[in-house]
Amino acid sequence: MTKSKITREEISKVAKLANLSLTDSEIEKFTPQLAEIFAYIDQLGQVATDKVVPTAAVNNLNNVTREDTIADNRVLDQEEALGQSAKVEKNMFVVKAVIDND
Amino acid sequence: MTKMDQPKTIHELTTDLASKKISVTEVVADYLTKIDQRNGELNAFLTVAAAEAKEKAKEADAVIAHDPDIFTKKPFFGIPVGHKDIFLTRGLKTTAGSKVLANYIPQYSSTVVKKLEAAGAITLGKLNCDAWAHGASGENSDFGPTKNPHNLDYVPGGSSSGSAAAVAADLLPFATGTDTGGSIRQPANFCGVVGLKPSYGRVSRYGIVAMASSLDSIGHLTHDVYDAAAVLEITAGKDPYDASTTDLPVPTYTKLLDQPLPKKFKIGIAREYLEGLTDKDVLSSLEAAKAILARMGVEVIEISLPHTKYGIAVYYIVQPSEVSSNLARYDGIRYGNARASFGDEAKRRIMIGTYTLSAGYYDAYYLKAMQVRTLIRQDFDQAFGEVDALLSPTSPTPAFKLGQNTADPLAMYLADVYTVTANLAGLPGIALPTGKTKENLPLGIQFLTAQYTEEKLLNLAYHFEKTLHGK
Repeated sequence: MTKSKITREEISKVAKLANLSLTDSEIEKFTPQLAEIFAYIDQLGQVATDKVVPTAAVNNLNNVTREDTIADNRVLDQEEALGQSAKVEKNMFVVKAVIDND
Repeated sequence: MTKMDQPKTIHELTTDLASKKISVTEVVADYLTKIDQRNGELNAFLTVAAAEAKEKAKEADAVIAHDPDIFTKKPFFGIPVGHKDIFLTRGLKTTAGSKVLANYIPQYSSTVVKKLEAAGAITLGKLNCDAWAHGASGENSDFGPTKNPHNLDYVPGGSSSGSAAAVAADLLPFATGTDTGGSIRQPANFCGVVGLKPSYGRVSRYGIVAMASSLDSIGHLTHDVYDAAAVLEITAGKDPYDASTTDLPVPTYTKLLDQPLPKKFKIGIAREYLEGLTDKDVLSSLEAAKAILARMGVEVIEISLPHTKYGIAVYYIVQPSEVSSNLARYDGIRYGNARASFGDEAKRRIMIGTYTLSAGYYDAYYLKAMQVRTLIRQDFDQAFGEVDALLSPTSPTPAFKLGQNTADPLAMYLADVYTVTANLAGLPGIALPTGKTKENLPLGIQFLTAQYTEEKLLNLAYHFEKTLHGK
């Protein structure tokens, strides 16, 4: 197993991937904590797992499906659906712009 | 008003209500008074729905007046309940113990809440927990920790901290909880109540804030085993809204409780669990359990769970990976506050999981962990070929003091050693009280059985409890 030493740079990169904006002092705080945690979980590298089938779920179910019809009793009306958002305009959720028209 | 020296169980309350010895209005008022008296110091409840509960109690008494048969139709009619604050309750604030959802009012209720309401239960409020169910002490709640009712300087355990404390302090006859790595069983033991973790897929996860989708188990805390069985009868079952629920029919658990244990019932203790277990109180609790089992005529043997030492490492890869995915939806757009409102533990777990799932690291971490998970599951399959149930502690120590383990996240994680593997393997487990330490802190043990054998687990627990109380 790749023994990766968790650096401040990696924490910054991971924070960005996870959409967490960390302050410098947070990065300072988390780096040694995460380094210690990863040093611990890295020991899994010792376990022989050749040809072992991975377990993703523990319920022996496959492809549970339902009819492709609207479940009326589960539909939220527009007011309910928008009701918990801090920013609503013209009955729509407001998000940050993703397209720059300049 | 009934004077309660011994907490009333659900079945005792139902008997009293059905015989008209007490009204629902009195029952609800009684619990609300106790909550009022003690919640300030315990911080078990985050939200108390007093007005709504009193209204429902009034309606319930009106129903009882003209339909005395209601208790057959609705077995939990008039029974108060509290829900861990990750169970969505329509119209009633649900925070997940986090500032991110500090003002979130859900637009729908979880299946388990709806099932209990349909059975007649009355929601008294929402219970404190470690934020996002991340924790094993209650200290990760963004709204202050819950205190252990047996000693306010000590933690009640977590993450179902408020649930365990509320039942232990008799502020509720029962409470819902979740167990992803021990979060029902450990606080149950720390608080001296019964905590049931059903098999993965036995109870619907729909409408419950997801922590780790392949590990989350939905359960409850009660005063006794009978109540634990009664609640499971209501909450268990296939749910079309949760594709991971099993098709298996739900046994009438309460009717199977007092069947005699099968002859030659064998219990196993894993030798790996005993290595490094030094706490005298926890060891004495195991000895007490073995003595009870001996009186029951049950053989206890030593078995091996060879991959025990890798359980924490597997869990702290699989769980944060799934957490990082499940918490991605909290973007402050459709509900909740911005991601900057996440507490430290949530941020740590999101980052661990993002890293372990990222390109270049997925094989070494998540895939590897899934493979070792298979080996852990095989350990249990092997063990259940030799014995009917497993006995173990839930924690290497009894409840510890507030602030004792907060400086070192890894130290807190390592204490999960006896509980996480049941979640990795999907097994059911029950935490039972056995006594107290000299400092008056509760002690307890847990039993585990094979997946989807809750009737066997509850049958064992029922006889154990009976024998412990000299019946």
